[in-house]
Amino acid sequence: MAGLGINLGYLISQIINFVLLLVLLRVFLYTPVVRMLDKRREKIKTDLEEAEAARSQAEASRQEYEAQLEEAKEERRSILAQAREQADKMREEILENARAEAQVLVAKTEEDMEALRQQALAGAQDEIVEVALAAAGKVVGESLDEKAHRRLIQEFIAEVGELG
Amino acid sequence: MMGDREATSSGLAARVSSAVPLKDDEQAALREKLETRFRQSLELRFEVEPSLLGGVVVHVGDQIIDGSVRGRLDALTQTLGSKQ
Repeated sequence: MAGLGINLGYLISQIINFVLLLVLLRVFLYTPVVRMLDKRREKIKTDLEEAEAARSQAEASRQEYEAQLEEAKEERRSILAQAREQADKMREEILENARAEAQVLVAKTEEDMEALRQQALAGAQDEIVEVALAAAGKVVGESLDEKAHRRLIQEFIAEVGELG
Repeated sequence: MMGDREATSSGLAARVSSAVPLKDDEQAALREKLETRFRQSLELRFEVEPSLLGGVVVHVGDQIIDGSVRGRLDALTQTLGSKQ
């Protein structure tokens, strides 16, 4: 070994140094780094999970919001429909009332007009009778001659027993 | 019937109206009929009333015997529903 220029003692010490270095590296560098990487990975995983949870939460909130919105819309539609229905009903009632009132008014007016017409007719009839009889009286008075007067008197005398 | 009639010394008073004057024989015939009808003598007063148009009306007490043309026209007026 000496012939080859190799110092055995030196070699052994080099080997021991190397092994020692390996051990030290493992203890002070590799293990902490691995631990740190593990931690880091764990944190990233946790962060990812949290992010996922937050996203799920947000999604749930969004869905809830949409549901509420939909509900509000539905309620609005229902209120509008109800209001429209009520308005229609009211309009129908008002129209119905107006129609009934108009009918009553028309009937009353017709009745009044009929009464007025009857009154006018009765008045006219009275007037016609009056005029006709006045005319008849005048004509009879003028057309009765002596002979007719005598006949009327004779008739009266003949019937006076039964008249009265 | 008799109680409310106007009586005079010669009998019940009666007024005879006619459109033209009655002749004597007509007056006599009428008196006879009326006295028979009322069963007593009557005090007749004759008067001319041209508005009767024709015929005779006799008033005896509150009773009226209407045989005039005017009376018939008035009755007709009432029948025809005229205001009277």
